[in-house]
This record gives sequence, structure tokens and C-alpha cells, in this order.
Amino acid sequence: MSIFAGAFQDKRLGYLAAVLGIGAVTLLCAAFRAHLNGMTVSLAMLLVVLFVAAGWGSLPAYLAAGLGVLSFGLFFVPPVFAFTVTASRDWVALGAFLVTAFTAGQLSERARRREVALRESEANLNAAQKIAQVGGWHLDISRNRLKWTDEVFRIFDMPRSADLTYEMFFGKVHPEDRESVRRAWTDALHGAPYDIEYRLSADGNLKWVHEIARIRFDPRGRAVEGNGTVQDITERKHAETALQKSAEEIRDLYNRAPLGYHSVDKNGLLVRINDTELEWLGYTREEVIGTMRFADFLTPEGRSRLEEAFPRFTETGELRDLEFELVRKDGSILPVLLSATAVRDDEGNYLMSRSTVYDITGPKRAENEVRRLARFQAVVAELGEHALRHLSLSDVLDGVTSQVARILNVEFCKILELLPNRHALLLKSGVGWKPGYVGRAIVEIGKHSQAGYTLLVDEPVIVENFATEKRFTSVPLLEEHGVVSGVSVVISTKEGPYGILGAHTGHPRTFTANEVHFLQSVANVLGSAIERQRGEAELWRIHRAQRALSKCNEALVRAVSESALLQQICDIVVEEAGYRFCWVARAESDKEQSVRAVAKAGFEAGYLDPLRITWADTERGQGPVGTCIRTGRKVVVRNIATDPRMLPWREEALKRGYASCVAIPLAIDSAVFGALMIYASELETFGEEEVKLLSELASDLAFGIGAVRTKAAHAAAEEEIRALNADLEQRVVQRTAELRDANRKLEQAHEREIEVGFKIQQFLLLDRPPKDVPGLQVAALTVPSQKIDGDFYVFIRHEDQSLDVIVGDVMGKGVPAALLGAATKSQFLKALTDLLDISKGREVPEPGKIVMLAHAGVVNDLINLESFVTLSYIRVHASRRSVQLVDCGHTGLLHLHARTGVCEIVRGNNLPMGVREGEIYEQISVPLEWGDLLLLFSDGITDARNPAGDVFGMDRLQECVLGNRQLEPAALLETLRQTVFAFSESDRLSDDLTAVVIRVQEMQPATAMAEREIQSDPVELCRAREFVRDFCRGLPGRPLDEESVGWLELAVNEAASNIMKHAYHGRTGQPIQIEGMAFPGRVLIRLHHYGDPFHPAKSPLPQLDLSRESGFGLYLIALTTDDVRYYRDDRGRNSIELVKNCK
Amino acid sequence: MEIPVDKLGGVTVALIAVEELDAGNAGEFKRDMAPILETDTRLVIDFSRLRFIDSSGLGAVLSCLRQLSAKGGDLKLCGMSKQVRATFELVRMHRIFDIFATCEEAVQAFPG
Repeated sequence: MSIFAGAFQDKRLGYLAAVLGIGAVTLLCAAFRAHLNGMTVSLAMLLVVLFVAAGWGSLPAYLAAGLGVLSFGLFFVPPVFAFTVTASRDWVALGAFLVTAFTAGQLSERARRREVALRESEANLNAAQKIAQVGGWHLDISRNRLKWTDEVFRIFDMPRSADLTYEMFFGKVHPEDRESVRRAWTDALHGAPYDIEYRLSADGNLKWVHEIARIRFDPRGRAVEGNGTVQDITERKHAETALQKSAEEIRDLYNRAPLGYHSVDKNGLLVRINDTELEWLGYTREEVIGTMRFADFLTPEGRSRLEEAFPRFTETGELRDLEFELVRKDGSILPVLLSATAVRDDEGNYLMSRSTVYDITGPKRAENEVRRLARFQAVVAELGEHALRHLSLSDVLDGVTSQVARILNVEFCKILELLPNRHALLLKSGVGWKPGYVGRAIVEIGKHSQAGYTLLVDEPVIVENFATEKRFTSVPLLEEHGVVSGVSVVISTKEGPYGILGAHTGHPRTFTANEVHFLQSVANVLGSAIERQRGEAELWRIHRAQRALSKCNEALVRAVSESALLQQICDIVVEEAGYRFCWVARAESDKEQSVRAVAKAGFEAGYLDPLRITWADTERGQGPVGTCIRTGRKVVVRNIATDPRMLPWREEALKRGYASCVAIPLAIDSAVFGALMIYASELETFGEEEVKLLSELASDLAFGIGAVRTKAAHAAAEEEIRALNADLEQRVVQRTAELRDANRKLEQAHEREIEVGFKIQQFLLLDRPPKDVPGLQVAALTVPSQKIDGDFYVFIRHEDQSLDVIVGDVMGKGVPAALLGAATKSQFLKALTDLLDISKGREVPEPGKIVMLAHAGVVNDLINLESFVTLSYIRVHASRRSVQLVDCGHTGLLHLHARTGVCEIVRGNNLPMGVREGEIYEQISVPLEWGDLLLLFSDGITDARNPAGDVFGMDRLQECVLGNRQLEPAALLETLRQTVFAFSESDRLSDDLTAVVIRVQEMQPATAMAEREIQSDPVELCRAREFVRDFCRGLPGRPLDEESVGWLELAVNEAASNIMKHAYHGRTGQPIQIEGMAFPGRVLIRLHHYGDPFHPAKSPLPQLDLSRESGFGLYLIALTTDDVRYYRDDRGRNSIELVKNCK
Repeated sequence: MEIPVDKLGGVTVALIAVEELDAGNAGEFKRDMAPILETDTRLVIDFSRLRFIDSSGLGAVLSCLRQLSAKGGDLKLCGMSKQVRATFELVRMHRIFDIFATCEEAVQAFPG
């Protein structure tokens, strides 16, 4: 094709063809001249003209026409071989030739030009399609012939070929998209628009194309042909996918952020909220968007705060760190911090908020923990006070259970009392239990119940979930109330366990160490209270028996008749001793062996009438009276309600308020003739001591009766009577001795009270020293004196690893002092938590502030009670190597410098707490060195006296500390204790002895050290710099880079220069000692001098107005180092310490 | 202190010939700069030999600027080492001095 096309384009070939064509026709016609007429020849010539005209255009055609006319004239028109045009016919032929040549030439020229143009435009189209990545196609539908432009071939990645069909195209469509493409095409054939995107499975690369087609229909509605475009949109698709992915990522970030995000419109309605916040709230998106306001999730208090802040927010566009409590759908509370910025439209109108919500449960919890500790402390103190305030035991127990339930936030709290038989526990007091349980429910002991197990192991037992508990099973009491978890502790007394204190809840929960410790503290206070109550009750009853006995003695001496004596005794027992009811039973010797009341006093109300008691060994003879008479032994019923021996009479007895009783045999010369019956309205009475005294009384009574009988029988036997009387007197003397004995017991009871006070001190006033404060070793010592004192100490650890220690002493002694101590301690904890609250836990409040706030809380009480508290409050920070002291009229702080061995007493001059309202408490700051020792102590040490009356004193204290400073703090304190006791030559001190020792440990040893001394002369500055340079460069591993070394050089230069100028005032020849020390992570240079100290305030950037040329020094030091300390060291040198941290 | 002086196209270039300028020699520097400051108003101080400068040194240079400014002169500095330059920047003195890398640049910076 192309060869031909090229040939037709060459005009020269056209002329050649004209000559050859006419020549050939002439020869042929000449050969067959005989058979041809002129017409045929001329037509043949015309054919040549037409051929040339069609192939090469008009000009060669003219040549052919001319040659044709010439040849025709020469050879075929007679005369032959002569060209003569004579006939007009010939002129017409020549004209026809020329016109044919011209017309055909013009036509073919035009056709050719059109073809060229077409070809050019096709090429242009292809190029354009290639650039646009758009191809075109045409489908002859009836013949199923498909035509593609080059670009379609390229897009479909197919070699250009001729015979395309729809099926071939369809084979290139991605299998998954074929169905949709087919459907679109079928629809298009029925008139639907064809505009689709689909994938190609071309050469393994996935390609996306966009195809649009238009179908032409014939008048009958049949599809005739289709024209379409195909565009490669792979890149666009990729971009779209990427965009979609990043949008998804952003959505994902928004939704799954660990923060809550939401937006509210100008009405406060939620327009957007992320999954995290929805999850916190427990709502679904549908429930909140457009229907709920953020305020709907707040507590009423929070709502009003938000309403107050919202208008300001829409105005300023900013809201920062507002604290709220979110109320979740389930009603629980979530503490959060809300910040927001406003989104505005172009005109600046508020559109919506962009709010961030932080869950601050964590920090809150930590803050709450401290606050809870303070509350625990306060509650234990309050309970202790109640217990000592002579409230009845049941009131104390009820107070304990309700307080514990409240403080630990549990539904159930119980106190189980171990019953006398020691096999079961009685639910003595509690909260949360259904009616009818308290006072009745019994829990078996043994290792199958939590309570029993607790008694067995004698330590707190925590159950997080009974469902997974392996050590024991739940008991009916707990099961019936749906208890799931709990903690129980033993209430111990000196006589053994009293019972169990337990806290339970209906859902799984853990109990923190602090909570368990709190519960145990409550149990301990309770144990002490129970002991005390028991002691008091016992004492009271002994007292009562005592009184009865002593009255009895009088009655005996005066007795005239037996019946009068018996009645008198009964009266005494009831009126003097306060028992509820008393009667004397006489054993009759009748057939029924009946018992008859011969005297009675007190509240009887017909009790004795239907008793029908016998002393025979029958059913009704098993009661206390019958048993007593029959056996001649005392019978004690401590609880009529539960004692089976009282069954026949129980109801009547309880009706009359008899709770316990005792039957004491009356015998003359070992012959039992009756019994003395005494009933008390309290449970658990008739202890050993009481019964002993009452037995004495019964024995006296019997003796008296014997005496009366004898008196009656031998009225004349004066001598005998006198003897008897003497005997009686003897008995009275004996009674008096016994009375004295009882008084001694009373005293013992007082001692027990002291013990209670001591326990309070142990539980409430004295913390355990912490063991794991980095860089500090802490030990504490307390030796109680004969009388309880108000000494206390407190340890508080802060998050920045500093440790607060308070050692205090309340004026006065005894339980009141102990309680005041506890109150003061609580005030300190409260002050600390309040201040932490204010700073939102961001910084630890200064000791001085804590003391002032605590003082404000306690000062009025102290003044009213005419008491005061002296104390030392210190804060030790090991890594900063500093200690702050607030000395409130206490003994100060003993500071032993490790390096020099110098002991120093640091004291402030503040008044004790409780002396003056509004006292300003100043704090003192003292630098520490590694190895330094701090001692806080009570004046019990320094005021200890030896028999000669000398006091132990500060000197001996310092001497002792110095001499034993190499010991561990605990060992040092023990040595101190022994020294004080040895000095006082006694095993009891008159004052409490309290001390706390802290050693500042080297956290890390120095890896390198060097020293140099320079003179106070500016020319020596280069030596200082050289020292720094050499020291730093000589350090193994070069921890400081050259830049840091350069800055440290500059800082040391400035420090030394300042010392020369300001400390030595320009005097030369004075020493400046420079010390270099390297620690892991930092290098430290110290400059020591003996000039005036200078403690610069924080130096601002000096004015650069050219007015000053100096003053850059301090500023440079501050800028070029990581830490600077100005202090006086333990050798009395003024020092500057410069620290450079390694990068 | 020796302070070599050079004239470059109507501008005086004074070289600090020591490696360290501190409280030990800042007074000397000020004293020896005084005659130069008196006679010349277009001055460049060349720092290229200096390795260390302290606050006294900074003060001394500041004093030079003050004196020159007082009589309508101008001072430019050049040739500072990295550390010296950093010290200037630490107290923001690079804001009140014109500091150039080389003497030539400093000299050319003077008008006319």
C-alpha cells in the first residue's frame, strides 16, 4: 500500500506513465488496427488519460491527452503518419481528451488531498488520544466489527490488529467486572446511557478505565453502530484510593484516640463525637448526635459550671482544663478535664467546638488515695475517741460498721463475735444485712468460711471473688446477700480473739493495702475498746459484789433471826449491788425434794410462783437451783437466752429482763441446805472474780445462819457467841484486806487504760518508716514511758521522691494528749491534700505552707484545750541534696556532716503550734552532702535524767551520734536507746523517747575526682579554665562534648571571676579551691572560697543599652550550666556548685 | 597588650592579638584600645586570633562600641571563632554589633 501510495505521489512517474500508456495503447491498437475502429482507439486513449489523471493529477493527464491526440491523429486518422486535423470531429475529440484529463486530474487531486488530510488528522487524533490517554472506538453492530484507535490498543495492551470483535474486547475485561460491563452494554443497546468504570487484566498490572459510548439506532429502533471513548484512569483511581485510605486513617485516629473528642454546635448539641468518648459514656452515636447536649452528661454542679463558661467560650474561642465529672449511662462517674477551641465560619461566627476530653481517673485516683488515707486516719482516730468515751460497746460496734461501710464504700460490713463455745461466730453488729440477721445469724468457724479461715490464719483475708475462691467456700449469710468479694480481719484482745471485722460487697473488687491496713487499724482500736469495756464492766461488777459483801458483814453482825438475815442479804444484793433479782432457795426434804423461796428481793413479778423447781435429779431439777443444791457446786448461766439448762424457765426469765444468773450453794458444815440465786440484767456477767466474791458472801450468809441458829439453840452460851463474834470480826478484817486487793485490781484496770492509750499511739501516731526512698535510709525509734505521751511521727513520700518527716510532741500526757496528737497528724495530712488539690497535684507544696495550713486547722482547738504541740517538719530530697526544716518550737534538727564529722543543730525560731493564731512559719533550707546524717528527736532523750539528777543533754546526744555514725540508721538508734537507758540507770523513762534518723546515701559513686587551687587574681582565671578542660577531657569516654566543655569553662571562669570581685572584693592572694567530680550522666565543678558569701537572686538578662559593661557573669553561669547551687559547705567554705549534664 | 593596627581603605582594623580575653586582661585591652578609639572613627576589631572571651571581655568590647558611638563613629567586628560567636549570642550581643566573617567584608560594609 505504502509503496503504491508513494508511487502515486511522484509526478515524474505520472509523466512517464502518460508516455508509456499512450505508447502502449498506440502499439496495441496499431497491431490490431484491422479489428478496431477509430472510436475504440480513442476510447482506449481516453482510458489512459483517465488512469494518469486519477493517479497523478491534471498535468501528467494533459500530457497523456496531448500524446493521445497526436498518436490518434498520426496513426489512426487517415492520412496515416500525417497529423492533420481537418474534421471538426477531431477537434471535438481533442477537446474531450483535454477536458477529461483536466476533470479527472482535478478530481483525483482533490481526493488525494483529502486522503492526506484525513491521514494527518488521524495521526493528530492518535497523538492527542495518547496524551489524554483517551482512545476511541467504533463498533459496527450488525457486522460485529470493532475498530480501535491506537490509544485503545495501548490501553488494552494489545498489538494492533485488524479483526477486532466485541468478544475480543470483552476478553480483556477483568473477570470480576465482566458481568457489570455486559449488563451496561445490554442496557445501552436498549437505550440506556453507557458510562462505566471497570478494570482490565492487562499484563498483570491492574488498570482502571472509564468508558463512554453512544449507540445509534435505526428508525426501527435497532442498534446500528456504537462510538465510544476509553480513558485510562488508573492514576486517578490510585489517588482516590489513597485519599480514601488517608480519610479512613484520620477517621480512625479520631475515633480511636485515647482522648475523647466531640463537637457541639451553638446550642450545645453534640454534632460529632468519637468512639472513645462514646465508650466512656456508654451511649451509641445515634443516641447522642443531634439530640443530646454535652451538659446532659454532667453532674448538676458541672452543668451549671459549663453553662457559665459556654458564652465566654463562644466569645473567646478557648476553654482550657475545666474539670468535670461525667455521668455515664450506667450512672457511674468519670472525672475528666475538658479543653476546647471554637471553629468559626469566614465571618467569624461560632460554628461548633472542637473539644478534647481527658480521662483523669488516674491522677484523681492518686489524689484520692492520699485523701482517703487522711480520712482513714481521721476515722480511726474518731473511733478510738468513741471507744474511750465510755460509749456502750454495742454503740461502738454499730459506729464502726457504719463508718467502715461508708469509708470503704461497701454495701456490707459486719462484726462477728466468737461465741463462748468457740465453735461459732454470732453476727453481733453490721450494716447492709436484711432485717433479722444482726444479733441472730451464726457463722460456723473452721477453715470452710472466710471468717473461720481468718481466725485460723490470724491475718487479713481478702476475697476478690467467691466464685474463684479456693481456700474456703461462701457461707449462707454471705450467699443470701449476694456477696461476691470482701476482706476480713481478726479483732484481737489480750484474752484471745474477740471475733471478726469484715467488709463485703456484691461485686468483684480488690482491696488496696491501705484499705486493709485501715480495716486492721479499726479492728485493733476495737480490740482495745472491747478490752477496756470488759475491764470496766468486770471492775464495776467486782465493785458491786464488793459492796454487797461489805454490807453483808454488817448485817451478819447485827443479825437476830434467820429469816430477817436472809431477807436482809437479798435486799443488799439487789439494792446495794444493783442485781436485778435475788432469792434464797431452801431445799425441802419432802417427797418431791421441792425447793422453796425463803427470801427474795428485786424485780420478781411472780416469777417464783409457778416455778415448781425440784432439786431431785429429774427434768425440772436440771436448772441452776436444782443442780446447785444437788451437787453443792456453783452454777453460772452467762446467757439465759441460749443456755439449754434454762429452757423450762427461759421465757419467763427473759420477760423479766434476767439475762444471766448464778446459783451459789448455801451450806453449813458441808451440808447444803439451799442456794443463793442472783439474776443480772446484763449478759456475760458473773466472771470468776465476781462469783468468788459472791461465794464469799454466800458462805458468810451460811455462816451467819449457822450463827443465828446456834444463837437460838444456845442462848446462854455467851462465851461461844463471843468467840463467834471474834471469828466474825476476823472475817471483817479479812474482808477489808480483800477490799484492798480489789482496789489494786482497780489500779490495774487504770494501767490497762494506759495500755489502750499506748495502742492508740502505736496505731495512730507512729507511722512505719519507709524503706525504699531512693537515696535515703530511714529508721525510727519509739520507747513508751510509764505514762502515755503525745509523741508522734509521720512519714510522707512525694512523687518527686522527696520525703517529709514530722516529729512532734503534744503537751500533756495520757489519752487526751494521744488524741490531740492524732488530730494534729490528721490536720497535716488534710493540709497536704488540700494544697495538692489546689495545685492539681502538679507540685508538692512547700513545708512552710503545709505547716501554716495545718496550724490554722488545729490552733483554736489547742488554745481551747490549753495545750500546744512542738514539732519539726523536714523535707529531704536526696537527689537535690537539700533538706528544708520548719521548726515549731521543737528540738530542731541534728545534722551530721559526713565529710567533716561536724555535728550541727539546725533550729528555727517559730513558736510551737497552738500558741498564737496566725503565726507565720518560716522554713530553713540546708544543703546536704552524700553520707550526711539527720536526726529528729523528742526531748525525752535530752531530758532523760540519771539518779544524780543530771540530764542526758545535747552534748551526750551529739557524742553518741558522732561515735556511731558509721552504723546503719536502725542500729544507730538502738545504740542511742541503750546509751540513754544506761545513763538513766533505769528500765523505765519518765518521758517517751522518740527519734528518727535519715542517712543521705550516695546514689551513685563519683567516677572521677580532681582538685586544683588558684589564687584570687584574674590572671589565674586561665588556670581555672585549664583545670576544667583537662578534667573533662581526661574523663573516660569523654561524657561531655567539646561544646559543653567550652560552656563549663565559661561558667567556671565567671564563677571564679565573681568570687574574686565580690567575695574577696578584689583582694589578691586568696585561695579558691576548685573541685571536679564526674558522676554517671553529669559532671560537677565546685568552687570553694573563704570570702563573703553571695547568694544571687535569679539574674535577668542585663540591659543591653550600653549603659553597663558588667553583670553578665551570673547570667552566663545560669545559661551555660544545668544546675547551680550556692551554699556553705561542711568545712565552712562558701561554695558554688556547677553541674553540667551529659547529653 | 599589643594591638596591631592596619588601615584598609580609610578604615582602621585593630587585631586582638591574644587568644583569650578575660577578666585578667580585659582592663589592659580597654586601656590599649583607648588611643585607637580616640583617633579613629571607622573601626573594625579583628577577633580571628581569639579563642575565648568571658563576660569581662564582652564588657570591654561593649565599652569600645559605646565610646565610638558617643563621637559618631562606627564599630564592626569580624573573624570570630565558633565559641566566641556563641558567647556573643548567649548574651544577645550579636544584636547590637555588626559582625562579619572576614575583615574585607567588615571594611566594605562602611559607607563610601
